[in-house]
Amino acid sequence: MSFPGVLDIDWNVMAPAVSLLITAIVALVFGLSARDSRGPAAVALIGVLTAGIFAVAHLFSGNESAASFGLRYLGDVPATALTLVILLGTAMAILVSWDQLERGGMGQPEYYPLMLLSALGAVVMASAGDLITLILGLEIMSLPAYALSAWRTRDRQSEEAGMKYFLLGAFGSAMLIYGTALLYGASGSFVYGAVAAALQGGNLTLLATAGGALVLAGLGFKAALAPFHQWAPDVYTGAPTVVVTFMSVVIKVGAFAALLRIAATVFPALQPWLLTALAVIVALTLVVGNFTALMQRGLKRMLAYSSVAHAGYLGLALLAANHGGVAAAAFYLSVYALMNAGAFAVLTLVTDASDHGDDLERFAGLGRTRPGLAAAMAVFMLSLGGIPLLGGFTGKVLVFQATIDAGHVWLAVLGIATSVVALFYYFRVIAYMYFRESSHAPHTFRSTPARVAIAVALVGTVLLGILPGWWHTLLSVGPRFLAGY
Amino acid sequence: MTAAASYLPVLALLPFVVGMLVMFLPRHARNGAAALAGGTALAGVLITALLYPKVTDGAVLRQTWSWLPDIGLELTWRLDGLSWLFTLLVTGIGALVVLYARYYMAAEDPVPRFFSYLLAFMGSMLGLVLSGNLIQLLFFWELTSLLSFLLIGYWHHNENARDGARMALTVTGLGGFLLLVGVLIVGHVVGSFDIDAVIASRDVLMASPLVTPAILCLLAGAFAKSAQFPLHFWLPHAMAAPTPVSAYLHSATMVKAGIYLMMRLWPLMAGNDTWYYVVSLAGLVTFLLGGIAAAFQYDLKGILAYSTISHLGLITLLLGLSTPAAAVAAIFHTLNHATFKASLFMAAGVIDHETGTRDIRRLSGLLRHMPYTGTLAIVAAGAMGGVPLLNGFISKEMFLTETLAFHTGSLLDRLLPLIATLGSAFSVLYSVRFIHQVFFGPEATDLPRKPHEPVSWMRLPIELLVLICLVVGIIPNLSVGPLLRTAVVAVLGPEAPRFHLELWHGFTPAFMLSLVAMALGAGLYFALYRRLANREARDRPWAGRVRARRIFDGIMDGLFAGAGFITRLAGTVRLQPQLFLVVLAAVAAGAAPFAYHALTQAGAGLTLGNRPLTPISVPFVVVWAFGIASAAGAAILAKFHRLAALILTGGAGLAVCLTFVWLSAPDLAVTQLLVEIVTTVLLLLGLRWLPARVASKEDLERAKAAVVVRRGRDLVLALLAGGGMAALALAAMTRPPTGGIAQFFNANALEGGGGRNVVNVILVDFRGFDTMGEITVLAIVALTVFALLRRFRPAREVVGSTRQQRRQDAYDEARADREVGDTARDYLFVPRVVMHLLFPMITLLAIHLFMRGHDEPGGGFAAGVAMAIAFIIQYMARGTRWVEERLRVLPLIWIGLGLLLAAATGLGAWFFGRPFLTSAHGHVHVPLLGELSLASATLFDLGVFSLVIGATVIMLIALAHQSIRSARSGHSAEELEGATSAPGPERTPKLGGEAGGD
Repeated sequence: MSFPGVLDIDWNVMAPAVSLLITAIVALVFGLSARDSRGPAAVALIGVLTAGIFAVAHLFSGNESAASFGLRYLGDVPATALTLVILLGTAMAILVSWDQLERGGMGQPEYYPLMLLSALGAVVMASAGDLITLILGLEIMSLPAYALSAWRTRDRQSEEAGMKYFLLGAFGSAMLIYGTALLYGASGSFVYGAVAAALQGGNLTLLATAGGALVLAGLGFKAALAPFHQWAPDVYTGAPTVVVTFMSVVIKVGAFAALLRIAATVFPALQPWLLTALAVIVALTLVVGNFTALMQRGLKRMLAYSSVAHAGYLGLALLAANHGGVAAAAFYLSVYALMNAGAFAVLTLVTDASDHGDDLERFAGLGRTRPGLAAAMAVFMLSLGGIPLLGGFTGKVLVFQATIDAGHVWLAVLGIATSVVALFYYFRVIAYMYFRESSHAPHTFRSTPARVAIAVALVGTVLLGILPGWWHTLLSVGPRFLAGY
Repeated sequence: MTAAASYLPVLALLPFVVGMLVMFLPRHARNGAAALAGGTALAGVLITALLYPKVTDGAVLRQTWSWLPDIGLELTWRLDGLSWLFTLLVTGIGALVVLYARYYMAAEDPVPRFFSYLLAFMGSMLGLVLSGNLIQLLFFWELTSLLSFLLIGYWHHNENARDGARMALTVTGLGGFLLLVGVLIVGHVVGSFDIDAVIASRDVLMASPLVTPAILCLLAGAFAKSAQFPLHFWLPHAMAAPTPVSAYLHSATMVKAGIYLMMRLWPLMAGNDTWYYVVSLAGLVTFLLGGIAAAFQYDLKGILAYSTISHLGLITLLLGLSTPAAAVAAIFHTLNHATFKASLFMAAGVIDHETGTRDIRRLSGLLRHMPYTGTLAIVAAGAMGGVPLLNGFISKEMFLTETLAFHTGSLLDRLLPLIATLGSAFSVLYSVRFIHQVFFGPEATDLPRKPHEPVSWMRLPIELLVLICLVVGIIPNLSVGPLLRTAVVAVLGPEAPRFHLELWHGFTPAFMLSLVAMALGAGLYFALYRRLANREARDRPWAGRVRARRIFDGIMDGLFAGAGFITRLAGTVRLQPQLFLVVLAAVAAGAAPFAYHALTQAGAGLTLGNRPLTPISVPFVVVWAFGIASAAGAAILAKFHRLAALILTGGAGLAVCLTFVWLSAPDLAVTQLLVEIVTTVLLLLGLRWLPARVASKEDLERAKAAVVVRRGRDLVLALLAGGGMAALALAAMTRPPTGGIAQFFNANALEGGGGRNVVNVILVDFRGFDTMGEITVLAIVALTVFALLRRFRPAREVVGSTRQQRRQDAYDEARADREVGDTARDYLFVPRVVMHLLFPMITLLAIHLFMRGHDEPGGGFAAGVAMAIAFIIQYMARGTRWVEERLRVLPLIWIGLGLLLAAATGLGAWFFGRPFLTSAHGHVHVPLLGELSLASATLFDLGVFSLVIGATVIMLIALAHQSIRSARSGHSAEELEGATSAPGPERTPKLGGEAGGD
């Protein structure tokens, strides 16, 4: 009996993940002797850049169907592109943390290794071709994130955030694992494509659908789809802003990368109501996220709900996975990573060292006191709101077009209607920055690395708005993706 | 052709580029900014004029840039007759507005910013009319909304300006999003966003069931932009903008964007029933209501705003009629309205500028002070009212002709000319009022400023526009005929009706209606004169009752109220309901397939499999009864008695362990047992730092009814979740395993991996890579736990000595022969010695487990855990400090070595030209120990061993250091605070190397 494909390791495919792992270990050891956290930050940044170079090299090698471990670890275009997005988000988080950790008295040396490991988990999730790899990635991603959320010692909110995230997250993981077991029980396989193939015409769709529903719930948890979004606002509010910069981008990308593959391959083979349920979840997410964000005064919490809302837009793309939704979602995630990380980066420069003071009032008059910062924030808000010339608009158009093509016209209408609601809360920030007089002392904290991160986000957001074609064309997936290889 | 087409993007993008430059000019550079802006606009006019020969007779210029090729989206720059006309309007009036604004804006305003916005707006508008594709059009559409927000809110210290800007943005932005829906639907149906392709597919669209929503969405966007009822109310509020902005945006350009869109899509949609009813009715209502409202305004700009609404309604109505001749009239009136309304806005701005007020009740007899401006304004107002010899008259007459010529046989048919005449009468009324009240009558006495003529440069744009009104009004066919012809052909195609613009058609019915309207309007004015001139009258008496603003505010309030409701409904910050919701969702997810199956009977149902069940044996049942009871007890006691709960957890673990033995899985049993011991001990150590119990049994008894209900609910949910999982598991397990791989491993373990313990061979050889991943995860977990615990601060009440310690210390203190701490030191002396001596023995056991691992139960993991137990025992027996003074190999090094060893073993295979982690094996005879099987996998296993020890001990250290830290920081809470807030190296436990230590 042969055992094909177990040992076919393609190191080009693995290189980004391995670079991250090695860097994490090096940074950990290096951190033991470093005087402050900037040394490990530099190490981590170099590691992320190395991984990025590997990913770019692989992406442009044209080797579309590269994979390791018998399709269990994929190196196809979406995987590599989303890996790049994850690396980008991680790099920005590192830059934002650079000075901020010392400022907030959080400069313990384990910070950057944990962040890299979490990013590694997200990369594994994006590349996972089977459910076991997915679970492995999810856990690698989540565990460090729990610790990072509680990073601010002596702060009740931060501790609560870590604890809550862990407790609720454990449930999410449990659902995913149990769902995986049921899918395996029904199909006898873990590989997405094989699961889908085994279920075609099989008589075990019932068991498999229960499994699929649990997998959806478990991943929906990480992706913060309503009603599994409850943790997001609390954790975002409690966790240090620098950590939220990381989480809001990387964890979302990891979760959606996995969801996209499963939605494209496994879900269509299950009972049809599952997709209806997903549609309901998406609709709920859009409404809850946008309307609740409208009521927030604190910017961090507002951005937390806004991230829930964006999960809704990405959810639309999930429903249209077979109609260009994959490329649309990947594009949206790219823009989202830039604009959201950018917004949080600005936030870190405006709030106190303790992360307090994220109230809208703090942004009053920012247009006069810190014009550059305010302009950047305005661009991020406009892009999040989906205003033309910026990446957010292109992303929304792609997502809505895919949704309509997939036949979900009313969901697209709902998505667009809630986008209008979203404009209110994004514009409120801009209105405060430019139309209100400042009642606070001007913000004096400055950080060059954070500025670099903001600049990168700014350039990216505008670039993907004006010239989206090259990136979107790169992201298009073939039928093999949809069949799960 | 292509060379000319390449000017199109230049035309659209030049204003943006110059706008950027202007932004960086110094704050007071009025002349520089105006010169740059004016130059850009004039360049635009020049390019537009030069391009005219290329678009006559229905020719189209196109230039395509690749943008989002995968969904067929390209940036297409497209110029035809209609776009050309609008381009001319945008650039031409833009140039005049720039000149006007240079003298209008005060020196203290940040003028470069104003011109920068204005240029960007011009660019967006040009982009809009030059877009050859609907998404691109939308793109610029939203941009015009955004820039109009900035322009209206330019004087942002003024609250009215802020409100007006916000409202304009909300309404037009909302319209833009609806337009997006419409465009996406059209694109979906037609398969392209290209305007030419879309228009060519009229039949496809008309046959689609989605045609009505598509038309409604597109129209909603156009109506919002062009201030059509019921989305008209933002325009009067936008009058808080600086007057040049009103003259530009609210007469000639932005409000015409909606009209442009309707004209653009006219060939696609005209004739459709939805289009006809919605467009013509909206136009009609807007035309009439706008006229009536304008008549009762007291603000000069308010009159003009409502009059704009009314005239836009007129154009919309014409487009709705769907006849070619009406479309011609619509295009012509668009042009005329732009000229006379822009000049009127400018004149109103001059009046405001020179007198300091725009209130028509305070203005009077101005003709004496500004005869020249007054005359210009009177001529322009005449055009607005439709006086012969002026352009407004001709298009107004064309409009009346169309209303008379239009016949579908409905009631609307007969009423249309009457309503049109009535609307025209109001248009005459407010024109007369504008002229009469402002320029005639007695001299005003209480004006804020002494009125006089403006500088002549400020008057020049008005002069030019009024001149156009006159020229078009007198020699229409010579002046504007060819241009109009070009635009009409672009909309209607080559079979467009031949029309001849003429001043005098004879005594036609339309001319009679026109006369009636003029007489009626003038008559009404003098009838209502007393009321209109009343200075104490309230603003907007009865026409103001249609207060869409209130509806808008109501909707806004409703929106926020709804948002608040959803927030309260869905947003709780308490963990318990959140967990409840999550478990509920999981149960629902698990139950849904069965509900679906029960409802539809689709596919096969779920039954138990046909695999034979193991016969029940009494001892096994007893073991499990014990296990289940322990688990349930642990869950219940967790809240009340943690120690008991922990011990019960151990009981449940033991049951699992026995099960493994029962089912002949010794390897698992050994590992489980060891893991059970380590976790229990670590948890016990952790318990020390948890606060005293938070709830008592009495709390449970005293619970209120609501609490009882809640707990009952939780119980039901828990039972559902647990029962459901058990049932699903049973269903899955009773099925025959699908294509198992166990046979393969059994057959190949010895031959391929060189070991008889199949489990171990799988772990370190067949699935070595998985194990590699797992130990990496373990290392991460250990570090995470360590990081978390290091940052953990125990509750105040548990800091300091335990009760037992205090009692012992008190005992010591009471005796003369004992020092404080003696009893505690000698506590459990004999067991401690025994435990101390256990270290070498356990080490031996660990080595044993490790060495035999490849063939018999044991292996690196079990050995590592066993070794960790040895360390734990030492910590417990001798205390943290004693151990750490002697600890030579530090946990981080254990972890690092473990990972390195595992990875190196894998990499080692490369040197032999084999894939990563390929193992080699052989047997060695070692004296004393006998035959040993040695595989390269053993090295790998050694890595696992090392890592497990490191991971366990690092967690142990993290816990143990709590005691050192709090002992150091003293017993009082205040001291604790002080100590924790002062970071120092002494708090870092000894982890690896000198650097991490002291």
